[in-house]
Amino acid sequence: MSDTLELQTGEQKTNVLSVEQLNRLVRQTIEGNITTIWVRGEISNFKPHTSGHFYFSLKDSQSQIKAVMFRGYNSRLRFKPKDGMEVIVRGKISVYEPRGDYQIICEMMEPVGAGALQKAFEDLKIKLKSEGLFETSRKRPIPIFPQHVAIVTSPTGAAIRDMLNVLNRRNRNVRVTLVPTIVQGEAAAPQICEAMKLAYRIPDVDVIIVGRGGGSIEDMWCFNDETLARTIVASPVPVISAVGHEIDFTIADFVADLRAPTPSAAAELVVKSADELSQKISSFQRVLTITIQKFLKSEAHRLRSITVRLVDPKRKLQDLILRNDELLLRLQNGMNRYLTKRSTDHRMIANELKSKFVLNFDRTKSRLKEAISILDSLSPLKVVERGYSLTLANGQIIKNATDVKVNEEIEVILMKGQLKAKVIEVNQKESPWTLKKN
Amino acid sequence: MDFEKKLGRLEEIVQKMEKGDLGLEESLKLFEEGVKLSRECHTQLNTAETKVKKLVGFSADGKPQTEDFAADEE
Repeated sequence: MSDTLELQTGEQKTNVLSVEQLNRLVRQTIEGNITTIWVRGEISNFKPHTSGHFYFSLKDSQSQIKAVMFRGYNSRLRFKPKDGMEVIVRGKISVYEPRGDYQIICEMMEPVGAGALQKAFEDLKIKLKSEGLFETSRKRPIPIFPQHVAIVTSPTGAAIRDMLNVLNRRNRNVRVTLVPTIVQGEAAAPQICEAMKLAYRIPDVDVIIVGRGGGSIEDMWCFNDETLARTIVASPVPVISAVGHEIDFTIADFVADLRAPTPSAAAELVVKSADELSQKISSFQRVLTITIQKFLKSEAHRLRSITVRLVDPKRKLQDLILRNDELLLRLQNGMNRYLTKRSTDHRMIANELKSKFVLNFDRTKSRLKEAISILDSLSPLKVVERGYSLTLANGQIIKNATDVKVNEEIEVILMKGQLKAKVIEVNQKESPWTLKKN
Repeated sequence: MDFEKKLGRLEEIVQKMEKGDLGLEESLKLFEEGVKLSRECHTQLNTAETKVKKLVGFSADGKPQTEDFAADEE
């Protein structure tokens, strides 16, 4: 919407732009013609905004231009932009119409020389690696309980403070000797080398920690120094590198025996191992105690089982006596039972016998009586009572008259008394008393 | 005997005891030694504070010269 205006000179001007139109035109012209450009300059007036966006100027000896790097881009930066820093940026020109100024919107920023530095770093890395200085096989183990630690770092930096905090917090019985040095800037690398060499001369040092607190890549750069790397390699004791830059590795990190991501982490290593050690020793104590207890228990058990089998002779005797007594008792009981049974039997038999005997006896008695009476009745005396007499010659009873001679002396036994007689006559006639046979 | 040696000996004793083929007398002897060592190691680990010195130089005969050091407060 351009106007036609009258000038004082009487001229008529067409296409007189408003400011807005001008600025827009400028913007379109510039942004249309300059897309992505690369600019090199020095940072000045650097102001990091609370929003996270960077506002600054890029200048050289003659000119300057306003610059902005929005948070989305600047969060990727691996260094802290500072006033005076020489940088290369890639960006777009942008015209801010309301104010009619232009600036460069940076999408990428890099310190000048960073590329060159990076290349030098990579080259050194390759070189030292090919010499075998990065090999894990040459890394020495850190002593489990270091008792004298040498720390090579700045006496005023955050590193030593943080490390001592960690060590004091755990009350670890460790001696620390600080070997002071500067840890950034041009002169740092050689000074760190000298400090390391001093540390090597301290007797009875168990481990050396070399490092510094956090900072920019430039700040760390002294730890990429080749001479320092070789000095570390030459250390007589294990070296822990503690360059406080969590992500990147410096050359010193590669050649050290152990890399700690920060100085605090290095101190933790010293302390943690002591904690682990303490636990290990406690568990050893426990194992010792349990083992000896188990052993003693099993020995006692073994002893008991042996002594049980190993009978005391006195005991043996007692045992025998007991056994004997027991047998004896059984024997006695047996006998008693036997005898009781037998005596019962005996009694039974005795009774039987007795009754039988008595019966017998009675029977016998009566038979005897009977016999006696028969005998009695048969007794010559009884005969004699009937008037018969016994005649004897020479003490013999004579039944035959012929048994005597005339004038022989004979005896005659009467029921009452006896007669001595002489034979006057012998008569052989049969006696009147002989029973007729038929 | 320095700490690492003591610890090494302690480990050795524990292994021997765990193996369990020792006689009574030797077991007791080792147990005693083991307990003594573990106590000493524990003491060494847990006593005292960190002693911090700053190296200021070396004497003529190579002895390090130090002075007390205290870090700056934050």
